[in-house]
Amino acid sequence: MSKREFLEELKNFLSILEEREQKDILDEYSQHIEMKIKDGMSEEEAIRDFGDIRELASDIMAAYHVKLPQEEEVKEQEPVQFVAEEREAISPQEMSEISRKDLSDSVRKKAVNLLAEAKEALKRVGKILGNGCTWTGKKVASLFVACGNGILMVLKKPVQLERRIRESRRNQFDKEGNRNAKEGSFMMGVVHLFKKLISDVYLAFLWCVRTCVNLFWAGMAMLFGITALFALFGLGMVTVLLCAGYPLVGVTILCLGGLLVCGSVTVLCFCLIRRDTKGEIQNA
Amino acid sequence: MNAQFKKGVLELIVLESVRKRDMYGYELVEEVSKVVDVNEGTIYPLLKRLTNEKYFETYLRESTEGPPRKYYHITASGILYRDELEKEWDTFWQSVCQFLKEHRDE
Repeated sequence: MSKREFLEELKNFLSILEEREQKDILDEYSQHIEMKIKDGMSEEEAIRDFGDIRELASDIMAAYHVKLPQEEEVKEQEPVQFVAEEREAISPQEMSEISRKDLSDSVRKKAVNLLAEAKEALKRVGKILGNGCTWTGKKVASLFVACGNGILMVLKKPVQLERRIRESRRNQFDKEGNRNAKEGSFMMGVVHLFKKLISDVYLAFLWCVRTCVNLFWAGMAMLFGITALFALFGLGMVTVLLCAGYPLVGVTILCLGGLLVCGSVTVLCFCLIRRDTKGEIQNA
Repeated sequence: MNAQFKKGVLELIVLESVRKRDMYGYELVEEVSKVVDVNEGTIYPLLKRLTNEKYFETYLRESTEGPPRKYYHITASGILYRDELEKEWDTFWQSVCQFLKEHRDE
């Protein structure tokens, strides 16, 4: 069997896959054969090493059998009938078996991709929120932690809402995708458009959240900064009076404490702002 | 060697080879052939499956000879999966060895 014959026969077996996948697989095998020939093997021998083509093809098809968390849901959606009249490579029975597998796999694959994307996105949001949370916990007194947590709770709500919207959209899309699975190329376009839309909305949302958080920290920093300045001023006044013999030790200590607390909170707020910007750069 | 034996460990060998450095298909077949005598055809479907399951990523790189080659790169989840497989493999062969040893001693 020549290389061309081998590739053509293999292509017949794989004809239900997407055009791009087919090309990908065939390229790989043709490159392999070429390299074997370069290593001094004859074309015939190189191809014989692959063994039975039918077995090889069924191995390849099995690779598209992607496992999914919600397997039951996919099974329900699995189309009962599939027409394979146009193709004539193998016996119709076997053909339809492979086709059905491939079709359900393509649905699964899409679902898996979407799932992975959603997970990644959620992870990112979680990381941003988590950073703020752990940092706050380490650095500030318990009062401030409680305050920060309150803000985080408020922030998390829109995130949950967004997640719910995305999930409902995804479900809707999955159903749609199943119905139209036969019109592969058209569907791919819709999928692409939809994905882009969702990711755009998500990015805009993420940007808003980030800006809000930054503005909040900047405001806090300003507030505490001004208070620190007052405390410093007060401390100076009181110290002078203290030196003059007035009994103002308590007030002096109070001013000093206020200065330290407000100053450190200001620094902390600025640190939090910078951390967020860094995260943005990394994500971009 | 028994074909069923090979099939089980092939995945682990492929994952480990790619973990060390990124490889293209033919190179990987040669690497794996050093350890087990395997039908070359079966490596590509395996690579395809591992890629579909997001354990590998692929990219094209120009080569001095011939068309650009498709390189495989292991992902973080691929590394986790490899470690899991290795653990499974360790306990598996240890228990088999233990079993055989006990029977030999009897």
